[in-house]
Amino acid sequence: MKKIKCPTLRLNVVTLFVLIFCMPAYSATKSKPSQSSNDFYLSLGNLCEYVGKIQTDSNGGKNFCSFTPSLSLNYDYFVIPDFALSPEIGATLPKSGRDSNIKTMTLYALMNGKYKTSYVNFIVGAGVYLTRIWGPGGDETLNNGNSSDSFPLPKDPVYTRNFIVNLGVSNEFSQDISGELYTYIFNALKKEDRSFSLGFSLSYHFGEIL
Amino acid sequence: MKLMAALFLCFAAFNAQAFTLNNSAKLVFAQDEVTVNVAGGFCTNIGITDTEFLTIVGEAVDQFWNKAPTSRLKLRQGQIINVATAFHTDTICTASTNCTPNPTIAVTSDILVSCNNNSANFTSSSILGVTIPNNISGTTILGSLVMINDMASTQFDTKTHAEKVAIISHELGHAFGLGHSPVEDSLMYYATVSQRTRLGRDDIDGISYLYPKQQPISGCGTIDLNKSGPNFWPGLFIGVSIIALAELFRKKSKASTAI
Repeated sequence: MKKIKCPTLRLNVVTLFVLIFCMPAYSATKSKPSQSSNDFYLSLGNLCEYVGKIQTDSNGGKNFCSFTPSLSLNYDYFVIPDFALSPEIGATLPKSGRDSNIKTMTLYALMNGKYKTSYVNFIVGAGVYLTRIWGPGGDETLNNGNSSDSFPLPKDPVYTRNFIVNLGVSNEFSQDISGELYTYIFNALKKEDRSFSLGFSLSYHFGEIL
Repeated sequence: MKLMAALFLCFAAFNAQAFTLNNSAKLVFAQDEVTVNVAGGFCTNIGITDTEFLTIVGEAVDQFWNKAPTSRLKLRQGQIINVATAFHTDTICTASTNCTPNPTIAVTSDILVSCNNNSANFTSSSILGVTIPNNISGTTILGSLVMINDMASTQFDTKTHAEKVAIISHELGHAFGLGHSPVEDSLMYYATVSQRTRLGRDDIDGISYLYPKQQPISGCGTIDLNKSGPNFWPGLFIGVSIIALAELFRKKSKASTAI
């Protein structure tokens, strides 16, 4: 089976998003010159964690994006006509697999500022990103040198807690649907373990229900 | 909404990884920074000098473990130190079914990497290193010992520089509490692979499980005001953000009242 090369895949993804975000922008701004009423919305997307940071095979390949679905709730509260405070809480679904022993999921709470322009909305924010890691306990027999040994598996859940910076852009495709591209920056001020997660989401807007 | 519900249900397929611990007590270092020292004057068969060995240790910590974004543990390259000859010649465990650490070579603090030529430690030339936290208090690791195979038949000297870095880094993983991983793309996989350049996802989960990062607030809800501390800038950001938000709301409510 022919393996898809990463650069090609990346180019396609970038092209796709440029098309998605640029094409509806003009028409969206024509139909809605200024949407500045408070708004509650639900977002569904995918989070590509720690891009380029993780080895994915024995030949030194690194990660770009894996399937990590995310779900979040947001509320835009307009302080001035073009600027909204946009608190957000969200989570990625639990992942397990390979030997199905370890499970991880993430929870995040962000306080974003959203600046609306005629074309796209710019989003800057910060918040807390929790990673929950847990396992079933017990032992797992694995190779060890020239024989095998039992190694304990983790049991009780542990939460890591990171302060993250969020940068993103969003665009309204219609009155009810919008899309967003964003990046979470981990350890922004520390080069040693600075990391980036990239994400995209589609949102359904419920309007001013609160 | 139906479309979103359908998409949500599609997320039933998962993927993930698995790491293990090197003991059931979940032993960990208490401190966030652990120094890795090299025992000087012992390595005769692994094809590198003490200085090169220390350089490899530095690369091992910087290239791998220190890059985990969700872990608070940072390993630091130490220095070449003089230790008793027993570190070069003794067994890592006393003779027993389960490994009881040899008390004569207990590491006082942090991690010590030493060449060793005892055949009881290396029953095969393909075993490149053995590691054990050998100075423990309760569930806290005080000191760990990494022994690199320095027997005449060692295969360590045939490895490339990058492989040596990865091997040392793998052993350091054992030194701070991780066991093996069943996943080949993980540094803690039991065998070397052709190219090891980064941590695997399993490694990041493992070190984060043992040493979870706790930003931006540390301890019992206190914000770290030590400027050199890891939580100073995030704490400052949150503080300034709260004040700015309060000011915005105050101005907005003032404006509403005026109208």
